[in-house]
Amino acid sequence: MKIYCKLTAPLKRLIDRRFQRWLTARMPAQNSFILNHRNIFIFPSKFGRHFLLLCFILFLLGTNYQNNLILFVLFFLCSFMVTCLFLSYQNIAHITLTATPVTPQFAGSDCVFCLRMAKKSNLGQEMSIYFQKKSSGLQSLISEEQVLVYGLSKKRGWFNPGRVTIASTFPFGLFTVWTFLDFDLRALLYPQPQKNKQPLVSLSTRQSTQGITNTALGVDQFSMLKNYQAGESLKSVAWKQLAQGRGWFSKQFEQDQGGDVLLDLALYGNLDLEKKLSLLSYQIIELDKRHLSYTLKLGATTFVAEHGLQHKTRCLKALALYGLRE
Amino acid sequence: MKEFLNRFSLSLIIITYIGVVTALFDHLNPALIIFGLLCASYRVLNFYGRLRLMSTLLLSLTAILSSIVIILLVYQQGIFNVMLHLIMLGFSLKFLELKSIRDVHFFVNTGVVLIALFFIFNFSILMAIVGVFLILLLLAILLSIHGSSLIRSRFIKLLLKSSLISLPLALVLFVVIPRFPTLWKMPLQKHATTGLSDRVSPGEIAQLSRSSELAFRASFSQQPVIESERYWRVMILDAFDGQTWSQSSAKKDQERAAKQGQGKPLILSSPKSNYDVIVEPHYNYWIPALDYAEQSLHTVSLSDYALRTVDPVVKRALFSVNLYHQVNPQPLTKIETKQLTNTPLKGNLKTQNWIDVNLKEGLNKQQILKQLLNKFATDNFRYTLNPPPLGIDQVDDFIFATQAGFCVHYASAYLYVARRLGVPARMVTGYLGGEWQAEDNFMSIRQYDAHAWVEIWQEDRWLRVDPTAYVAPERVELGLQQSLSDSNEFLADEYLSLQRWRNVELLNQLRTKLAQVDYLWATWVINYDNHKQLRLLQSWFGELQWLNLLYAGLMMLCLAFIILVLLIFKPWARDNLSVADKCYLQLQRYYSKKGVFRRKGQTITEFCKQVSLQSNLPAAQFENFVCKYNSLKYDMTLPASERKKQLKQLHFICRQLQKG
Repeated sequence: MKIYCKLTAPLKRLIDRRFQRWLTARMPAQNSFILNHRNIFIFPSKFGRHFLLLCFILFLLGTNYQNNLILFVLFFLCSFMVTCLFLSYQNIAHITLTATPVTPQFAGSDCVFCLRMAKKSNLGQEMSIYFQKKSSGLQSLISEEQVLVYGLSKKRGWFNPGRVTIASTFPFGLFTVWTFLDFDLRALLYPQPQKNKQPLVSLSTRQSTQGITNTALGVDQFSMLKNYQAGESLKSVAWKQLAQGRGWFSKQFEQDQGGDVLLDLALYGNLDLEKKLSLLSYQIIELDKRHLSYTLKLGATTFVAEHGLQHKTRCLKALALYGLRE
Repeated sequence: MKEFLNRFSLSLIIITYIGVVTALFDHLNPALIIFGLLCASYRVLNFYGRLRLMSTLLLSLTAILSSIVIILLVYQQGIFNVMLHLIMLGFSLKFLELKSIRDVHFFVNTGVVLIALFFIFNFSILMAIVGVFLILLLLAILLSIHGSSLIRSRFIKLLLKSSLISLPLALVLFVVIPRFPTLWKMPLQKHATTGLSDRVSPGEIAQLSRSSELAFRASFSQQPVIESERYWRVMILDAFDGQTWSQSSAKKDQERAAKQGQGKPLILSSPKSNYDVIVEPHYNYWIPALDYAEQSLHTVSLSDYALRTVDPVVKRALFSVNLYHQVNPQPLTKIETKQLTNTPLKGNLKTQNWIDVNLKEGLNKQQILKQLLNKFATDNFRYTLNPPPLGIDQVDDFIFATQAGFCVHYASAYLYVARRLGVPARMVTGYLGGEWQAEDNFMSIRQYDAHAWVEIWQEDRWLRVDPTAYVAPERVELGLQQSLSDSNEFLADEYLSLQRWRNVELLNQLRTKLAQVDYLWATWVINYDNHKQLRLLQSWFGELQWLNLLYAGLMMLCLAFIILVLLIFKPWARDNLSVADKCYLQLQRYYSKKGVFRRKGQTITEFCKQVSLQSNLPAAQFENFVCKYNSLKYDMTLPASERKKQLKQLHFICRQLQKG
C-alpha cells in the first residue's frame, strides 16, 4: 500500500498542478463572484455513484423478473436523479459572494476572512465553505449575509490563503456541487510578537550608553495629571487620586527631549532575522500601549519618532514586509 | 462519538424499517423480524446514550453468526428466500453500525432493493401505493440528513415537489424505453400453487367456490363467446381410485414432453376468433383454454386440448390465444382406451346393479347414460356447496342416498357409470362462466367459477357432457350464485367481499369500477411489454407518416426533460415585489418618460428631490411619498394596522404624483 502511494504521489502532484493551472485560466481571481454554470462543478457524490449502481441492480431485477413495477421504480429513481442534479445547481446558483478587505493580523494566530453573501432566503442551504488548503482549525461561520472563513499562517508578510471551496450536497446527497473561487484574498500578517524579557527602560539606557540618545531617564517618567476621558486606557487612571476622592484623572507620561526610543534591527546582533522582527514587533506593541513615541530603523529605512495608531500600523507593516519581495 | 443523526432522522429511519418489514411480513422468518427490531431498539438506546455502539470485532461476529443462523433457518425454502433474508439481515444489522452518513446511504440503498423484491410478489395497485410510500420515506431519510436545517413545512414541500417533478420523465421513460428479454434465469420463490390442481376430490372445488379471488380475465377481439360455451378448460383427469380423480402418469409424461417442445401441435381448422387472457399468478403451468385453442410463442397445447405455459405463472401474465371451430381428433390407442375406461373393480355395487338392470331392459350405452342424466334432472337431486359427507362407496352414496352435491359429484358419478359401460371418458376441470363487463370489454373469472365436467369419446371424437347442467341449468346460464338454492351459501365465509353483496346496486357499481381500474392496471402497467409499447406508440404517432417511432420516443423524452427543467427553474416566475416597491417603480417609469431618470445608486430621497425640481407638483408631496416609503420599508416596529393605512396613502400619493 505504501509503495503504491509512493508511486502514485508524483502523478497525483502532476495532476493537481495541471488542475490548478486550468483553474487559474478558467476562473481567474476576482473580488466578487456570482455563482453560475461557468464556475460551478457538479458531479455525482460517492453516494450518487452507489445510487447508479443500485439503479443497475434494479435494472437486472426488473428485466430478469420481467417486472414492470421494479422497472418503474428504476425509471423513477433515474428521473429523480436528474431532478436532484438541477435542484442542487439551483440551490447554489445566483449566490453572490464578495470579498471584503481583511484587517491585518499577527502571524500564528487565526486570521478571519469575511465574504459578503447575497442570496435568496430559501437558497444556499447546507453549504460548507472553507479554504481549499485548510490551515486553521476553526470552522467557518455562515450566516444569512456573510461568511467568515479562517486561515492561519506562521509566516509574516502577505498571506494568501488560496482558493475558497464552496461545496454542498443538498438536497438528497446524490450530487456534490462545488467550486473553487479565488477572491484574491490577502491578509497582511505582522511578525508574531515575541515576549521580550528586557525592560524597555534598560533598552533605552543601553542605547544611551552607545551614544545614540543622550538620556538616562526612564521612558515612563510621570509628567502630569489630566482629566480622565472616557475611552482612555484604565492603566493610565490615577488610582491614588481616585481613592483620595479627587475624581478621575489620568497620568500622563512624557519622555525627555531626546527620550524617543530607538528600535533598530541592527541592535539585536546576530540573531535570526525572523526572531529579531518578532522581538521588534513586541516592542512596538508595548511602546504603543504606553503612548510612547519611538523610532524604528530597519536597515536603510527609518520611521521617525512618533506615536499613535497610524505610526504603529506603519511600523508593523514595515516589519511584516521587511526583506520580502512585494 | 458525536451523534450525527438528529431525532427526526432516526425516527424516519425506524419508521421506514418497520414499514419495509410490515410490507414483507409474509415472506420473512419471525426470528429475523424479532432480531431486526432488537437491532433497531439497540440503536435507539444508543441514541439516548444508554448503550455504546459495538466494536468492529463484536459487530462482525454478530453479523457472521446471525447470517449462519438465518441461512440454517431458511435454506430449505430455496435460494430466493435465502437471498431475501440475507438482504433483510444486512438491512437490520445496519442499525448496529449506524455511525456515519455513509451508513445511512447504505441503509437507503438496501431499502430500495427490498422494495424491489416486495414488487416481485405484490403487484396490485394498493401494494404499488404502499411501495411508493416506502420509497418516499427512504428519500425523506436522505433529505433529513442532507437538508437538516430545513424547517418541517419546507422539508415536506421539497420532498413532494422533487418527487412529483420527477414523475413525468419517469412515466415517459416507462412508456418509451424498450423492454429487454430476461438476461438469465433468476431464482424464484417456492410457492404453493393456487386454483385448480392436477387432482380433484370433491372437497377441493367446493373450497375454491368459497373464494371470490380473481382467477383470470379475458378479453375478446370480437363478440365474447355465449354463456353456455364459456367452458374454460384447465386440467384433464383420467385416473380414478374410487375417491379422487387425478392425472395418470402417462398424461403427466406427455405434458412434460410437450413443455420441452416435443409435443405435437393440434390440427385445427376454421378459425373462430382470438382472445387475451390475463392470468393471476397461480405458480402453476395451466392457461385457461376455450375449445379449441392454438398454441403460440409462450404456450404449448396438449393432445387433450388444454394449454400450458413453458414457465410457471408467477405474476399476472397476459397470453394471446387463437380459437378454432374444429379440431382433427387423434384416434385413441389401445392403451389410452384402457386407461380411459378403467375404474376400481370393487365397491359401488348399487350403481353396478342399476347399470345391469338397465342393460337387461335392452337399453344401449348411450341410452343408459341419458337415463342417468334424466335421473339427475327428475329425481330429488340438489345442487349445494355443503353436501353431506359420502362414505367409501362414493358413487353409490351420492346417487342413491344423499343426492346432494355440486359439479364434481355429478361429473364423478356420470364418469363412473360411463366407464363401467366401457365408454372412454375423462373428467375436465376448469372454470365455467365469467362476468362480462361490456363497457370495458373484458370478462372476469373468479375462483368460485371453478367447475368440473365430463368428456366422453363418441363417434371418434370427444363430446362434452355437463351433468351439472341437468340438475342446475342456472349454473351454466347464470353462474354460481343463481344456481344455489340457499343464497347464503354463496361466499359464505367472505362477508366483506364485494362479490357477496353484488345485489346491492351501489356496492355493485363500486365493485365494477374497481374491477375496471384493476383490469387497466393489469393490462397497461403490469403487462406492458414491447408489443403493447409498439401498439401504443403507433396509435399515437401512426398518423404522422414522416415520424419514425424511434424519433417519436426520443422527442417525448426530450419534452419530458424540458418540462422537468422548466418546472424546477420556473423562468416565468418574477420576484415578488412589495406594494411599496411597485409604487416606486411606477413612479420611476412615469418620470423616465418625462426625461428624469434615476441614476444607479441614487436613493429615493435624492431621486424625488430631483423630480420635484422639474415637476410643478408641490415638493411636500414628494417628501411625503419618501417618508411613507421609507417607514414602510424600514420601520420594523410599525403595527399591522398602521402599515395598511400607510400603504393606502402611499398608493394615493403615487397616483397624485403621476398627474404632474
